[in-house]
This record gives sequence, C-alpha cells and structure tokens, in this order.
Amino acid sequence: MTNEEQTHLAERAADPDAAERWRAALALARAPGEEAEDLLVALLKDEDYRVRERAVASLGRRFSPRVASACAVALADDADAGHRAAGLTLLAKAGAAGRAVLLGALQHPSADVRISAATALPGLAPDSGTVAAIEAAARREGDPNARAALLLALGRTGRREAIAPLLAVLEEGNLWLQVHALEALGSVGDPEIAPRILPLLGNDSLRQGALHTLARLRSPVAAEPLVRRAAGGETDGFLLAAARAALEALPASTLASLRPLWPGARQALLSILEDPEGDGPVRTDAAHLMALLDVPRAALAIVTHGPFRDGYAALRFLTRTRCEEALLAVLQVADPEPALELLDALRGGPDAPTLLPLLVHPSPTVKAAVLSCVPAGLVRVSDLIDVLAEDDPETALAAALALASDETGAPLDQLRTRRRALLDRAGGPDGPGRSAALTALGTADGADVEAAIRGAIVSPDPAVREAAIAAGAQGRRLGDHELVARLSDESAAVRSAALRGLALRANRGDMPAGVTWRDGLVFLVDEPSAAAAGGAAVIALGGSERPRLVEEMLAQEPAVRVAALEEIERTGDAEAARSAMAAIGHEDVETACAAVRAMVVADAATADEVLPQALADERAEVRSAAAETIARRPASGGGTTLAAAIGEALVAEGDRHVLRSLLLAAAEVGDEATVEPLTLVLSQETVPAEAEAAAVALASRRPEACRVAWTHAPARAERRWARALGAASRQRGRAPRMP
Amino acid sequence: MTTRSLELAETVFRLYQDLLRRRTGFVLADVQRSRLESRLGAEARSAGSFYQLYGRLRNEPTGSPLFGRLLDAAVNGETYFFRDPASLRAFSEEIAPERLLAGGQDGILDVWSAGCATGEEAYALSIVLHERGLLPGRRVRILGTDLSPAHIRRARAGVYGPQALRATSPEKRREHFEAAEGGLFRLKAPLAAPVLFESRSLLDEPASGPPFDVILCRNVLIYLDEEARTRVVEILASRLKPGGYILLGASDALAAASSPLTLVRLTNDVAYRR
Repeated sequence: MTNEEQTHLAERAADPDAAERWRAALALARAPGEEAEDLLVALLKDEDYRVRERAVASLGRRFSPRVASACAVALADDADAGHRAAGLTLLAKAGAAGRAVLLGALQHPSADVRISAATALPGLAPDSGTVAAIEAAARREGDPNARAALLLALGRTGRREAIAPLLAVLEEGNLWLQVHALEALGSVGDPEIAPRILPLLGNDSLRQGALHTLARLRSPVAAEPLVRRAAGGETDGFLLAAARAALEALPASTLASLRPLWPGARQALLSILEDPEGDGPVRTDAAHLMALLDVPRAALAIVTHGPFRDGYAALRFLTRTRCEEALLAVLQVADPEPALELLDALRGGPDAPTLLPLLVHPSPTVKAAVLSCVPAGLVRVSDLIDVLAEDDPETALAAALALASDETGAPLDQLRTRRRALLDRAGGPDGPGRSAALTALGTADGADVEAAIRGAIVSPDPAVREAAIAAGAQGRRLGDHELVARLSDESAAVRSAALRGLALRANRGDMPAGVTWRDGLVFLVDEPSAAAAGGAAVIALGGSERPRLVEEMLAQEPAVRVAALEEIERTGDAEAARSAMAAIGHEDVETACAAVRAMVVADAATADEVLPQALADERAEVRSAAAETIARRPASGGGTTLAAAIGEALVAEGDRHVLRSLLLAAAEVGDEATVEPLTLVLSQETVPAEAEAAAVALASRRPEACRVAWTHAPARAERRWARALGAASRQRGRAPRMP
Repeated sequence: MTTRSLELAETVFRLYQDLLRRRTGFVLADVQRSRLESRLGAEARSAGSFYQLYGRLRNEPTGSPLFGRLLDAAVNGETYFFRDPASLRAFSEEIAPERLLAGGQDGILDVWSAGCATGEEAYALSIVLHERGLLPGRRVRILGTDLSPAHIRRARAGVYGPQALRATSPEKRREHFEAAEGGLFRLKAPLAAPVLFESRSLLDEPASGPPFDVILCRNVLIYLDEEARTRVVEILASRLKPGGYILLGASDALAAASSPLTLVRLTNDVAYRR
C-alpha cells in the first residue's frame, strides 16, 4: 500500500459518516501492514456498533500479538461496553491465542472483567487443558456471578472432563450455582448423565432447570421416568418438552413398550390441544407427544387443532400403522397444509404410494404435489386424463409429466393410451393443459408428435407456442430454420424458447446450420427473458471465440451477464471458465455467484486459485456458491488445496446456510485437513444433517484420522464421530469385495 | 418419455427466497423448502432442474404465469370466514355506517381486502354489510388482492369447504351459502356480486391508484421483510380516502408504529387513519 493510499484510508476511517468508516474497515481488511492494523484496532472503539463489528471481522483474519494486546486493553475498558464487547468477540474467534488472553483476564481484580472473559470462553476448539484452567479459576473464584459464568464456560467446552466438576457443584447446595451447573451440563450434552439429573426432579427449586437440561440431553434413559411423571399428572410445559425430546431419541421398538405407561395420554394431551389460547410451544409439544405415544385418533386431533408452531409437523411422527388414519384426517379438511405436510413426510419413502388417495383432495395444490410424489405408474390413466382435462395451471403440468413417464412398468397398450391422451390434448384447444401436454411430449418421438408440435407453433396463445418451440427444439422435430423463424415471434417468451433451443443444440455438438453467435447479439437489448436467452445463445454458439465472448458479455446488462456465465457450464469449456475468473469479485452478487459456478468446468489450477478466494468472500451468497461448486466439481478436479480451503472455511463460517454448503463440499472433497474443523462443527448442540453426512463420508475415506478425532473430541462430537465411524464401517461391509 | 424426481438444494432454495423477497417482500421460511420442492417439482422437471427454473423465473415479470406458479407454491393461504369477529364488528357497526354517511346518498363505499388469500375475508365483509341492511341498497365495491393467482382463482369461484366455514354458525351457512358439489358451499350470488378479485403484489400497487374508504390488511405484514413492510404501509396510507380507515392484524401493529398512520380506538377494535 502506498503512503497516499494509507493516508486516504486513515482519513476515511476518521470520517464523521459511519457508513464511510464502515467501508474503510472493509477496505483495511485487505490492506497489509501494521498501519492498517492500528487503524482497525482504533475502530474497535468506534461509536457505531456496525463499524465495530466490521473492524472485528477485518481483524479476525490477522490476529497478531499486537492485536491480542489491543484486545486485552479492550477487555479491561470499564468505560466503554462496546469496546469491550468488540475485544471479547475477537478473542473468542481467535483460537488458542485469544484464549490465552481470556484465561489471563480471569485473574483481573475487577469481577466485571472476569465475568466478561468467562462469557467469551472457551473460544474455538477447547482442549482438556482449557477445561482444567477454567475449572481451576472457577474453584478459586469468590464472586458468585463470576463463578456462575465460569460454570457456563465449562459447559460450552462440550468436553466430558467438565462433567465431574459440574456434577460436584450440584452437590454443593448453593441454588444459584446448581442452576448454572445444570445449564452447563445441558451444554455438554452427554445423555449418559441423565440418571444423575433425574433425582433432582423431586427438588421444587431445581425441577424446571433439571427438566430443561433433560430436554437438551435427549437421553432415552429419561423417557420412562418422564412418561410416568406425566401419567401422574405432571403435564406442565417443561415436563412435556423434556418428555418429547427423550421419546424422540428412543428407537421405535422401545417407544412402543412405553405407551401403556400413560393410559390417560389422549385425554390429557387433547385438553391441551383444545385450548386455542394455550401456550404455543406447549401445544406443539403436546401434538408431537400424541403422535409419538401413538394415541388413538392422534392424526385427527392434530389436523383439527392445528396449525401449531411448526405447522402440522407432528404428523411426521405418527407410527406407520396410523398412515391410513392420517390420510382420512387430512382429507376431512379443505385446507391443503396438513395434506402437504403428510406428502412431504412420506415423499421418497416406501410409503409414498399410500398417498394416492389424496388425489381426491379438493385443493389443486395437493393434487399437483401427489402427482409429483407418487410413482407415475400407480396413478390410473383415467385419473391423470381427468386432471389434465381440468386445465388448472397448478395441476396440468404434473399430470402431463405423469402421463409421459416411461417408468410406469405399464403394458404397451396402456403406454399407447397415455401417449394418445397427451397427443389429443396437445392438439386440442389452447390452455394450460395444451402447453403441459406439449412440454411432456418434449422427449417423445414420432410423426404424430411432430404434427402436434407443428400445429401448436401457430397457436394464438404464446404459452402454447413457447411450449411447442421448447418441445420441438429437443431432438430434430423442428429444423434449425424453423427455430430461427421464431426469433421474430411477437412474444418474448417464444423468442427465448427459440434461443434456448438453438443453444441446446449447439451444446449437444449439433451446431445449428446457418446460425452464428452474432445472431444472438440483437437480443441482448430485448426484454429481460429474451435478452438472457440471447446472452446464453452467444456463449453456446461461440465456439473457439467463446473465451473472448465471455469477457464481452460481462459488460452487458445483469440478466445477460448472468445467463452468459451460467451457460459456460453447459458448454463444458474450461477456457471460457478461465475468462470468467475476472467476475468472481463483481459487485453484483448474482454475477459473482454465476462466475463462481462456472468454475465447475474450470481446470484444476484455475479452480485452486479462484475457489479458495471465493470461500473467503464477504458475501454469504458467493461463499455458498463456491462451496457448492467445489462439491459439484468432478472428482479428479479437486485436490488438497480445495480440501484445506473447505476446512478453513468451516472454522470461520458464521452463516448457517453457507455452513451447510461447506459441509456438502466437505463430504465430497474433505481429507485429513477437514477432520478437525468438522469436529468443531460436530461439537455444537444442534448440527445440520449435512454435518453427520460429511462425517460418514470422511470416516469412509479417512478412517484413521477420524478415529483419532473421535478419541479426543468433545462429548457431542465424540458420539457423532462414533456413529459416523459405525455407519462407514457398515457401508464398507456392504461394499462388494474384489474377487 | 421419462420422469425424474428432482431435489431442491439448500443453496438453490436460498436463491428462490432472495428472488421472492426482492420482488414481493415476501419472506419464505426455511421450513418451506420441501414444500416448494413438491409444489414446483413438475415445473423444475420441465426446465431441467430447480436451478434452471430459477434462471428462467429470474427474468420473468412478476405478473407472468410462470412467476405466478412460484407465488402459488410459496404462499400459504390458510384462512377462514369470520376469523376475526371483533374486526368485522368494527367494520360493519362503526366504520361502514360512518363512511357511507360521509359519502352522501350517492357515495360509494370502496373497501380493499389486501392480501385476501382465497377470499374469505372479502366475502365476509359483504356478508356483514348485508346483515346490517347496507346491501344491496347502497353502492359498495369490495376489492380483494393477493400475490397468488391460484388463490384468486379460488376466491373468484366462491366455493368453500367446511374448514373455511369452521367459525360460521349453521344459521349463517344456511342464510348465505348454497350447497355445491362434493359437500362444499357456494356463496349466494347477491353477496358475491360486489366483490372483485385481482392477483398482484402489494409492492406493485401504484401509490396514486383509486382510493378506498376502508383497507383491511391483516396478518400480511408479518410475512414481509422490514423494507417491504415500510413500503406497503406507505402505499396503504396513500390509498386512503380522506377520513378512511386501515385495519391491521394485531401482529402487524409494530409495522404501523413507525408510519405516518395514527391509531384510532374504536369500540370493537383499533384502526389506523392517515
């Protein structure tokens, strides 16, 4: 950075406008040198919290000893709570170096400072040494609030070593500390300690805290005693929440054995559901318990008295034997929501065919969803024809695609009937049904199909013409010249369909005759949908000039730019992807994301250079796109560089959506370097399903590294690694062996 | 001819969330992902994938049929007749008589049910005006608007199931509805006559459009992001006739707190005026 740039940034960092100071803090993240660091440290004291947050984020990537000492100063700043909070946040994110400062602050004479330090502890990836240090500080701490804060910090370590000292506090008899120890034990999350918590339910002062902890532990051991208590009349919200969590953790076979313990469950739970003014979370827990305990007519009660906090999600926990009851219940209401919940629960599973009766539901939304969920061969052809004849925009396409399915295993004469029905509708009056039938015939062959398409391209309905052009562009049912002729159609949707058709043919290696990329240029100033299709067509038809054309397209309107970048993947052109590198930092987030996604076809060197940068982008959308692209790259295209970048990103990521994308990428490309960062994720109280899937994938590929992680991991991560290693081992056992 | 089941990836779902928020202000909850997957499954298969479908939707105008399918899939229209009796009483006993008086003998009572879902609220307004003897003698126009074209199609049909009538007494059912096919109920024609429905986003409403005596916008603002909420309240305020009223849901009150609207305490409910 030149002196001039340095001075300019310093001026911006002192600007009276907070927005300008925020931008300076952002720019300083990328500025090297101690001067930039000093400016950022000064911004930790900014009066505007957004500027302080930005300074923390910018300093997070350059935690030097100087920054550490600045944080120590912030920590002791009694006069400025914002300054102190900024220092704490930075220290908590800074791993071992930040933790050392925080542990040191536990000796500070001010109880406020000690409490603040305890609140930020233990920081990232605490080890058994951290537990020992916090425990020692807790033992010698005289201030009850500071000691309580240290107990909570012990819990946040998530490590089994913290359990013994926390259980010891429960024996002390100090209610204030007992309540905090219970909370901390819930944070550790080891279900095996449930038997030590259950006796506290007899203590009125600790009962609520103990139930809350049991709800977090999700221990199957707690299920029976909690159900017995509920049967004895304890049906308050705390008990119901703990019972629900414990029952959800039970295997189905054990669950069945507990049901007789609470014969009055239906009446007790129904009285909670019947109170519409009742507490929302309690009613929700009661609905779930009804399903879990397989209460008679639970489905009808849930449907009648819902929706609850989570809609009708309780329907998902009904036993399989209540499937028919649930179907009858959701058919009794015109509201589509309960039926859609049931559809979502059973979709893709072995019970999906049982959803067929929902086709008589009055809601077209439900009908369309049934047709998308149930294997096409199970739906009667006459029903599909009836639905298609209704000409409802919601159901027409789903019915037509089901008629077109060749996965029905149906006899030949029935396949002919299906095809005939589609052809009849494709040649019939205009409307959503005709467009849908044409779309469904897109991949079918034959002179009759061609005749239907040709008849439809002159329809006065633009939606029908669009569907006909899209269907005709597949295969060779319409000649290139016919597609070109439709480029002058009055409807932008039809022009778009023709352009997409030409691009499709080019990408298949079937370069349209008499058409070049230049023919796409005139559409770049058309309506957005046609302009975007024009941009994509230019790239698809670009041939050897494609890399240069990508650069040209970057200067166009957003719709064109993004569509052109997206087309790169369909061309599979690595050189064109390299040309898109320049757009990774584009200020328009959609453009940046599209450029990142183009890297799916880039060569390994380009991907290794670009994707780690994108994973560190300020914008969550770009980071997410980078992770997703890494996951989608061909197996030979990703190496250790990308695996290491995913590992670093897993540690730093604060956005849960991006975290999920990163976990998907970790499952695909993760190696030894990903194991430790994944352990950090697995040690959280709740983790996305993608984390456990990534653990199984890594345990399959790198079992040794995962076993090491398992033996050293915090309690929750230890259990999850054990499950993953077991699942991976079973998968290997099922894998076919070489002869 | 073949079918495939498609998955709506988390990252692609976020693109749909962003697209909806930008165009309509509507915040699509994370739990709606699997719902969107089943509701838009056919369209995604037709486009090639959910991402390719998104690519097409991105360049479609909000009023296009394809974008309408996204709106249909995203918006939950669960509602029922006489859901909020206090509000209806305030409308029929306090606001409507006052506004009709203000309009004079030849005046028209213009009412807008903004975010009307499948039309129950708009028709309920017609019913309560009829019960008060204000229909058919006086000129009343009730407009219902909603994001979802499918909701509007159902609203125009005026046919409802028992769930939509769960808070409607058997006497009212007999008086205002007639039997329809499949155990359903159709609103009687004179009650449906003053009600018109249109499918459009509140954000697309022109600030200088025709003004209304009463605007009902209940339990809509909670589904919008903060910026959209502010804009919608401004739009609603700009579309009030002088002295007109806005009725919001209890959960929407916060949005009105930072607006140019003034809270008015009525006997049966609270309302807002410019």
